[in-house]
Amino acid sequence: MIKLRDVSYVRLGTRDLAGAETFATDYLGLEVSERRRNAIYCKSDARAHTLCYFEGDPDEQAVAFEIASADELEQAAAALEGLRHAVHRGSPAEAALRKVKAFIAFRDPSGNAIELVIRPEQSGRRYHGVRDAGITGFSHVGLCSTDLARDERFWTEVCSARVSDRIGDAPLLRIDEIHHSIALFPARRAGIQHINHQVETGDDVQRSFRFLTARNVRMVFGPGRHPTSSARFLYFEGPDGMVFEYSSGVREIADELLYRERQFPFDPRGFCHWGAKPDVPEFRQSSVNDRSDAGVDSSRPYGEP
Amino acid sequence: MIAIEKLRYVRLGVADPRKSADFAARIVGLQPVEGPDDVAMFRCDERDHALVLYRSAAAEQQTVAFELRSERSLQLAAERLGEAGYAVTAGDAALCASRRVKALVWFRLRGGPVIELVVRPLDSGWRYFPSRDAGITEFFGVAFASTDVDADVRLWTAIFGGKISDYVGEAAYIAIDDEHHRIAVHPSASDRLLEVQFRLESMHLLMQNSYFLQAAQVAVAHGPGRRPTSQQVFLSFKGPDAVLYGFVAEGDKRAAGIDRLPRQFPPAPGSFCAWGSVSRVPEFAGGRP
Repeated sequence: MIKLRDVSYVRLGTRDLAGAETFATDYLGLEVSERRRNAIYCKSDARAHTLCYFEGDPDEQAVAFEIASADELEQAAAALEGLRHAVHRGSPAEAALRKVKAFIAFRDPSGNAIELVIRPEQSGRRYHGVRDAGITGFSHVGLCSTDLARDERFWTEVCSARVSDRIGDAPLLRIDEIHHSIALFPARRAGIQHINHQVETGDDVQRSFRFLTARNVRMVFGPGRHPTSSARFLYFEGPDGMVFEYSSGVREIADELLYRERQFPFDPRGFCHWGAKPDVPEFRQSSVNDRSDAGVDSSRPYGEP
Repeated sequence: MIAIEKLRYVRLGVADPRKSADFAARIVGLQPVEGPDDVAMFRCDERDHALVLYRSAAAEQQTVAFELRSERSLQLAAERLGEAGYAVTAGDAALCASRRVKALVWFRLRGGPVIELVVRPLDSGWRYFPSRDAGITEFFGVAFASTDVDADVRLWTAIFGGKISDYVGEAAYIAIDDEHHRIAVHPSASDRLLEVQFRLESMHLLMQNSYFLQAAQVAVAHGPGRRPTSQQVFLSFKGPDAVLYGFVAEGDKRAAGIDRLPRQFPPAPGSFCAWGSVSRVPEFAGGRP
């Protein structure tokens, strides 16, 4: 079993690095911690970076999770190879690009690029955004799933995540006490479905709604409140159609023994307790009905389109 | 000084009482109360009624009633108001009966709203049960538009014992109990009742109501937002008539007995909403209309 300790960063390819930087800083509120040739590193908390935009195909997206040790990383690689996932062991140069000591890369059964990293770099300086968005840190990702039941089995049985709640068949998965760090949503493609940053208060969510609306950022869901995690939320569209979320007040699950996951309907009531209606394809019923059952071949080597 | 005990009711003379009553029940979420044929009465808490709608041929008629402790304090209030230059009229038995109070005097704010002072208004022992789950807990407060804020502030503070909690420009928020304010007076080109406010259980219900109003295509005047002054979350919306309806939730309390200086905020939109919502009402945007 692979034990995921934390969600570390996301890497997003983009054809317009300057545009992505403007969005990430002026709109989303992140801080550029480092500029390298063909890439920017953005921080949202005490970590050296939690979001990296690099020049490349926008379909090149990866999410990284922290593993405790080099031994565990090697065991993870062996376990994945045992399940016939193609595993790429990162070179020192590739690790340096990710600001980690070492990493392996593979694809989950839907074809999402996943990286397991050890010793991701922390920063000696606290995060200070260019605008007062109230961000307290990068917190979770939504992943596209072409087969929710199969992917739930992968994430729970192979990666030791636990189901906190389900919206329809879409599982919200925790790897620590936070209600969810990974959420799987029905889709006909692989890729990151949304990227979440936590903000200090519900007021920050509402302020950002007005701030971003005034700047013509496309709002796709909210402001609202999730009946599942109880978090107040706002979803909006960033560069290359990526959906970003702010949320505040996510519940924590302290009692692993007594907690039982709950079942919510896969309709607007399951997603918002205030009555907001999502304009996010993966949160709509059609995404379930239209789902293709043809999974992506997870034995495809990492990095190949 | 004669203390106002409590806000009691609002009476509105409107052009089309059926339409206004439908809005009050179906959209605002008030509960109809039995009344005479020609008036529609509504409640939202332990008060017998908080809103009365009746047909008025002229321009909208507006009355706000406040409760005083006793007939003795009513007498004193009439004297003090007379000394201050207000023309005060005592209500006869028929008027008192129609208002469901023991005693009443009334006066007018310049050419604008009528203020009624009442003693022993009816309460109801029955739980408020609306047709939709609006989550209203209380008839919370009123906002006035005023051509003479100084005079109105003197009325509510020097005569009726209110305390100024905060100023936004010349607009004043006035407390009459442990709430940050129950009465707001906004500088304006006319004297009128600007908004009738109902308190909701929580911010979540305020947001649920916000989406409900959006789905019902109700025109939102301001919000949802949070007032930097009182820390209340609020939502103001337009009904069929000139007066606005408002929902509020959360908000600061005033510590009793502490003489806190009113704070002065600039007359700018940011002083009325900390979330950045845009007001469609000039009085809530810090500018004179």
